Amino acid sequence: MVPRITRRLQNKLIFAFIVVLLIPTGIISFYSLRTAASTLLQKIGAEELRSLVSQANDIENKLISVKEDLIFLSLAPPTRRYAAVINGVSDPNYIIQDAQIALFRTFLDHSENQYVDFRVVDLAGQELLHINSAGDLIPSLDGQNFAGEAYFNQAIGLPTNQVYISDYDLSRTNGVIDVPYVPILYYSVPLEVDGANVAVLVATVSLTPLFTEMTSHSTAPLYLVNRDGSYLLNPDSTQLYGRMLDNPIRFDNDRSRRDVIAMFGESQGIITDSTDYPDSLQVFVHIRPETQISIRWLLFRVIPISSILGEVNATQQVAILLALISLLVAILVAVLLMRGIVRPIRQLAEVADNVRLGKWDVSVPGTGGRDEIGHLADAFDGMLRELKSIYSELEDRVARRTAELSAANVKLSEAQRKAEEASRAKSQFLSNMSHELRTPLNVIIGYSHSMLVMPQMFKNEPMPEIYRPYLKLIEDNGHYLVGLINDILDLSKIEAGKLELACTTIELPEIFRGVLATATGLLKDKTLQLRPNYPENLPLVWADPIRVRQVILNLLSNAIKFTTTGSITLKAEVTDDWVAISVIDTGIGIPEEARSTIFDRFHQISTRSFSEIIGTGLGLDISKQISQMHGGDLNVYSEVGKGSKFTFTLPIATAEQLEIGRIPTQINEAFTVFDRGSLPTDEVISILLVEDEVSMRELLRRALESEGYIVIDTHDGAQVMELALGLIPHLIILDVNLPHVSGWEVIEQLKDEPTTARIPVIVYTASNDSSRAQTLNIADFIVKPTTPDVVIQAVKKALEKTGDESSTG
Amino acid sequence: MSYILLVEDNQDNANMIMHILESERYEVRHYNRGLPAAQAARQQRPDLIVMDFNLPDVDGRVLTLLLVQQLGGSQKAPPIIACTARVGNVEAKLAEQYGCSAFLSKPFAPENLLSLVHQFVMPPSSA
Repeated sequence: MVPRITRRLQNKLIFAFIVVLLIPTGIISFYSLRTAASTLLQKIGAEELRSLVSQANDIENKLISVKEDLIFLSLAPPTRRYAAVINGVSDPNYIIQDAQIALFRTFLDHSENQYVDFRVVDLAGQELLHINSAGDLIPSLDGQNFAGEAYFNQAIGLPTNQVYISDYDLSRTNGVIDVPYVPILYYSVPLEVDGANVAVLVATVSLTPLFTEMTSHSTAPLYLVNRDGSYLLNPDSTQLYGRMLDNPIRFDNDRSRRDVIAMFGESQGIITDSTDYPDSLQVFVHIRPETQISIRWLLFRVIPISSILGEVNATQQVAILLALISLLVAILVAVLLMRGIVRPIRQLAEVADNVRLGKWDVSVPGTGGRDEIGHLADAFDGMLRELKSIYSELEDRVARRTAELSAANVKLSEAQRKAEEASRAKSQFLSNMSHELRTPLNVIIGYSHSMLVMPQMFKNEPMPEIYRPYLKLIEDNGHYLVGLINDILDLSKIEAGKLELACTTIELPEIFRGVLATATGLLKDKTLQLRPNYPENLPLVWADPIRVRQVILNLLSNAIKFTTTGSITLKAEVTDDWVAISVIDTGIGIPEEARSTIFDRFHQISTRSFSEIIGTGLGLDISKQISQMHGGDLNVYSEVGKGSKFTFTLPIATAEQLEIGRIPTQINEAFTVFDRGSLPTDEVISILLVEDEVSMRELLRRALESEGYIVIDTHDGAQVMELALGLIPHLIILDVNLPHVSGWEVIEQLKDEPTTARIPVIVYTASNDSSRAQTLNIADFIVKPTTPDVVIQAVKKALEKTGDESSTG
Repeated sequence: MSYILLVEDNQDNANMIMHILESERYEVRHYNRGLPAAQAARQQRPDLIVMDFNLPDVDGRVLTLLLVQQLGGSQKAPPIIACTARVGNVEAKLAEQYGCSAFLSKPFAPENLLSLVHQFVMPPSSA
């Protein structure tokens, strides 16, 4: 399986690329924009300040020009004459007064419209002359005195050519402040005659034209602050003229202390980081037209940074856009670049996967490249080739080892086959020996027994009594020999694992009765007591009755052998799921060192004399094995001189075993009677197979038997006639090329004999001369070489044909 | 004419068996080879066959199988007692499968042979 790549190298690399590209770009942009902004602010601030200072200078010049106007007026000849008149006569000369009025009018005609009125006030503070801006003479109000006014009493003490300029005021009519408010200044100058001041000339100057001009030239909000903190200019008109209108609005109340200190501390400057106007730039300048005069104004302008930085911000947006575009381009480039790197790597990985799956015939892509990837591909290719050679070498080695191993296996299986053959031969030998020994023993036992108990076989001739015990000896020893043969056969079966138990539910008391009866016969002339000691209601056990009998009988006969006086008890008791069957004797007992070896058959055979084996017998070993095959065990408890106790256990039948029930098998070792009706022997079809070649004969026999046929085979053509006559098989398969005998002649004989003439014959031959087959009425003719299938088909066909004939005929 | 067919290759054993059976007046015809015995059985049907499985010319079990078939099938054919020196459960089971009516292992007690034969054919003396 090719593993699924979930975290692509390509993505990682692109991500890294972006990080590397984006962070410096961002940082650089940020700093450059910031620097640009601050530089711009400084530059604009300086520019603004310059323009503000020039504006301030204009204002100062204007204020000074008014002062110069007033000095000119005070020194003009009509004024001097008027002053002299005031000084000389209490009642003024009207002609001179008219000249004065004419001067004012001429002046007003030629000056700007900032003058509200002109007044002349005498030393007592009485108004002598009052001309308004239109040049009209305004009559003085009764009782009006200006002696308390600053512009009067300050000016009266001034030397000639000196002008007093008042703090700002608002214009009034008859003492009431005009609305709309008109900010004004009073300029006052003393009029002198012969070195003494005789009157004061006062000009009321409106600031409105000046202020209008100032604001009209400024795009940004403009503020003018009087020295007392009142606003003379403010975009918010409600904030104006704090002192005059008796409201608390003052610049120093409004603004943070920091700004106030900054603005009053310096004659001019720029504030960029005001807390009051955080997003604004402020420029300020002081206006002081005359050091000795009371005008101290602060002019400042507030410029919103956003308007300045609007451009910068626009630049910033463009910069961001450019950055994004460059990022996109960068990603595109990265993707292309990464493909160039990742694709060859992925291809290499695919090749590696294929190799892992065993596909060696792959070519490595991208070899011969000049970059690192090409180098990697080259190295990979080299490695692959090396791996291939190692792999093939490994395979060779494995193949060699496998060959060696299979050779060893062949030897081993040969050895095993030999061993099995030897084992089989041994079993066969034992079986044959048993058979060969039994056959003569049958005569020995049969006749000795008959002579003792069946006089009718001997025409009832009396047998001399003196022979009887000897005949009995012959019979007993015959039986004993049979027992030995049985034991040897059993042992060989146990050894080969071929001893099969025919288990069923057993009523032990029934077995016990039979065994005790037999044991009684073994007592002979010994005066031993055989004591049964078991309850009649023992539960059913699951065991092979013949084997159980064999074990108990073996234990009893051993007990009898080793006990001279006393008793032998057959005891049975239930313990848990088992029935323990014990044979207890009062015999000589078994020494402790011998107890472990009494069940050990071959040691005994090799180390002890034959008589000793007879003493303990092979039976104990067999008995133990049989007990164990039943799931139980056989154990011994013994005390020398007192006796022995052999106990073996059998399992109590389970519920399921009880359900299987007791199979009514006749427990009789002597003979077994069957119920023949239940067997399907009548359906069987027999075939006589005549073939001289062993392997062919075996092959055909097995094939036919696997089809359910009974096969009688022979290699000898001479026997065919006899076998056919004796067996009358359903079919004969015959190889006509037999040694010594001609198969055709055999067939002729068969066809001549009435009892065998109708048996179909399948001829099976290497020669394809079928001419004789036709004359001899052969069922089928098969030419060698052939397969068992063909033979079986021929057999079926031939049998079908006979079946038809017999049913129709 | 009723008779017992004895197939037994060991002459001594055959003699003894005949001796035992004849003492009860059974007529016994003895063959020491299987094939002639089978021919005889087909020609003159016996009442009972006592068959040794271990025969020199043919397997006694196969012979039994064919004879049972040829003499009328398992229901009608005369009973066959397998009398063999080969012993054990397996051997007895095989005998049953090949169609025998009883299995008597050698060596046997003469009275056992007689009581088995009595189960199938009564001796002429008592008939």
